[in-house]
Amino acid sequence: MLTNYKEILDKSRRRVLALASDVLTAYELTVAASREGDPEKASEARNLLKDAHNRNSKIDNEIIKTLALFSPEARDLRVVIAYLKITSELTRISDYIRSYAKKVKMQISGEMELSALRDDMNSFLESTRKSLEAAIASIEAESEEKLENLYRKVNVEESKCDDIISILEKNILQQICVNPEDAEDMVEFIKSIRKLERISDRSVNIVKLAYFAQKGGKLKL
Amino acid sequence: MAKQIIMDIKDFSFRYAGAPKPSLKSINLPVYHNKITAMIGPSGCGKSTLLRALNRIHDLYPGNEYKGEINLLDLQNDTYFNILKLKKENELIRLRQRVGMIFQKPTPFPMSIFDNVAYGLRLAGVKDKTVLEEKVTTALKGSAIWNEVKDRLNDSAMGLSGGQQQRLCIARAVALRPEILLLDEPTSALDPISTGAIEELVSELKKELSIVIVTHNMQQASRLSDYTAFMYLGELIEYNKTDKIFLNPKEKLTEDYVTGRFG
Repeated sequence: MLTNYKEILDKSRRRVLALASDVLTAYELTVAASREGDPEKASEARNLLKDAHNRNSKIDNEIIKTLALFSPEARDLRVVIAYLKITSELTRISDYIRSYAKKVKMQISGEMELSALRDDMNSFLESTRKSLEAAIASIEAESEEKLENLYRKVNVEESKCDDIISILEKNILQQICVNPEDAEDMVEFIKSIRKLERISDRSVNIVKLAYFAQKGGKLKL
Repeated sequence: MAKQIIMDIKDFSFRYAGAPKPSLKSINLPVYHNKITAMIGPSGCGKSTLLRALNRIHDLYPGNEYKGEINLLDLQNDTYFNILKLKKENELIRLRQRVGMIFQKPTPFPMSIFDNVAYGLRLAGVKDKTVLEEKVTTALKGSAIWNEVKDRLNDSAMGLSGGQQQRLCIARAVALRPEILLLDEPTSALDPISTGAIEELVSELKKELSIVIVTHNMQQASRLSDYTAFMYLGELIEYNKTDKIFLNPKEKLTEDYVTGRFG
């Protein structure tokens, strides 16, 4: 492999992994902000991802350059395409996290009363974190066995997220029936967790892309 | 460090002896130090003619007409001199030591592998056997062929494969420590494995010297070079960084050529 080709591939890989790492950190900061009632952490999370779209564009352009100059084939082509699409998934996830971090700041300032939903919410946030973490690990997974384990893990956590969301929605509806004056806040809350729920969906896409890069086959997202 | 132009081609025109019209018309092109410059274009566009003018190899036949300037940087004192002003045979030989050339088909001499590389060195006045051995070894190592030939240095070079012969020719040129290496379709007669080996070698060699390569293989130009010049009918249509030429060419003619719409 030509040195300049290897360099450009490594550069794209480093950029994708750096974005992935910041996405995970920002998610953890947002969850910590919610649990500890610390608005600073929510702000920190938002700042960490404020230029995610620019970083996405840089990776896209780097990949377009790779395609134009080096005409990658077979596994090299799959890897490059996977980087391109994984970056897009990560950028969407960063949008959800930024949006949720904003809502967390509102929760902390006492504008929303959510104590009754705390346990389910914590389980949901933890499953989301696990699915995201495993998906990000799959980008770097070298062995087939490790990749398959991560694939399973992401799918299990995504299923859990779906189940917990159904429970949360039921509980929220009950809360609205008991306290109709909270309806507006609760609807807002449902909207924000619905966005968060997409993180695990996109994590599934990421692990599928990592699988496609390593094993080939047809892309099915 | 700022990019340094090692060879500056200015308003250069060239007409073959007896030809009614010039084959190259007012070419302006910089060759940057420690960079690879690719020249692309359809057959007959003048890219090989231009390449061969850069070390005055056309002068092996009389009567050609040069116009303009081809200024070569003297790295020792940072000054340029116009190679078109060279007249004496020994000056031209010295120029070809500084600006080496590799041809489409490997051209090993019918002698041993060692002597092939030592040949130019002996011509350049290297007599000491130890120095000669050291320089031959360095050149073969630098040309990524040492491991394949180290146990048969006294065997005939004609017994090597095409790819090995081409790397041997590169070693022969590199042994003289040229400042510029001109490659005229160096892989067009080779299989993909040998082509890959030559491309890796070329991309390593640019750390030591500057390279100008003529190629019909657009992918080779794109993956190997830092700068690309597109030529058509004896004119330089567009010159830019390689990624610009292959991603966002300014000229429609360039775009049509790189996308395979003509040529």
